[in-house]
Order: sequence, then structure tokens, then C-alpha cells
Amino acid sequence: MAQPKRPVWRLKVGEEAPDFDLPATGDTAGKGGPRKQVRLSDYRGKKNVVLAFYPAAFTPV
Amino acid sequence: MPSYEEDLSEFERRNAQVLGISTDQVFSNEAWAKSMGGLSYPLLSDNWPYGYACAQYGVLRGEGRAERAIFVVDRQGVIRYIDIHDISEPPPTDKIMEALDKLR
Repeated sequence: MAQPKRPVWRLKVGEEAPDFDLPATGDTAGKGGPRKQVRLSDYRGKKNVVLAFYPAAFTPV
Repeated sequence: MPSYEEDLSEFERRNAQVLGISTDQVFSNEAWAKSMGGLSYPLLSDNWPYGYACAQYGVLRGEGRAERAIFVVDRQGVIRYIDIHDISEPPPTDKIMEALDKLR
């Protein structure tokens, strides 16, 4: 069975961003800082957030 | 991803936190970031349950990888800009900055 090339589900501008709570490198990735959990809603009321999804580590940019 | 490193002061000026997200595990992301000399923002692992956040944002591809996509979320938690890009091309930074400028 053929896989759809793109997922059908799409979010729209103006919708609430789904919250997540994910394990992460420290605030500085690869500089030896401690790992931590990052929750999107922790930035609420404080900072704008730019979510940059990318396919895989070690992919050429 | 490393392209955002150069623009970090521009993001800071716009009170914006950059978060990288992929389905890789934390140790892979750490090793990758280290190989680039480090990054000044965190890399998040959407690895357990696998791809759950990517799927919620509609950017999980059939083969289990995230698409190259940008979502700008304002301080109220509302999505203000979306750019889902061809997987080989990083999204243009100037468009992200424009979107952030509108939030101030």
C-alpha cells in the first residue's frame, strides 16, 4: 500500500500550538550543558518560540 | 539547523527562543551539535512516544522523520506563522524574522 507523501493533518495559523514536554539537550546543545525537559507552555507569557522541525541529526544543511 | 546559529542575536532581539525538534534521541542530537562546535539553543527529542509531537503538528512523514518546518508561536501560545518546506531546503530566515516582527 502506498504511503501518503505528506500527512493529511495540518495546523493553521491562529490555532493554539499543541503543548509538548520533551527531553532535550541543555540550553546550549553540544556544549556540555546538562540535559533537561523542555515544555512549550513554560514559555507562555514570557517568550515567542520558533519551533524548527528537522528530519534528522547529521543531515546536511 | 546550524544556519540559525548565526541569526541567534536576531532571534534574541525579537524575544524569541529557538527550539530544534526531531525524532532523534538526545545523545544523537548532542553528538551532532558537538560536531558542529555546539549550538546556543536546545535540540528536543520527539522520540518517546516516537514522533508524537511531530504528528500533532502534522509534520511527521511516512518514513518516521519530521519534515523541515517552522512554527512561530507567540507568547499566548498561538501559532502565528507556519512554513513547511521541502525536506532538502531549510526555511528562509528572513520570513521567520518578519513573522516575529509582527508580534512585537
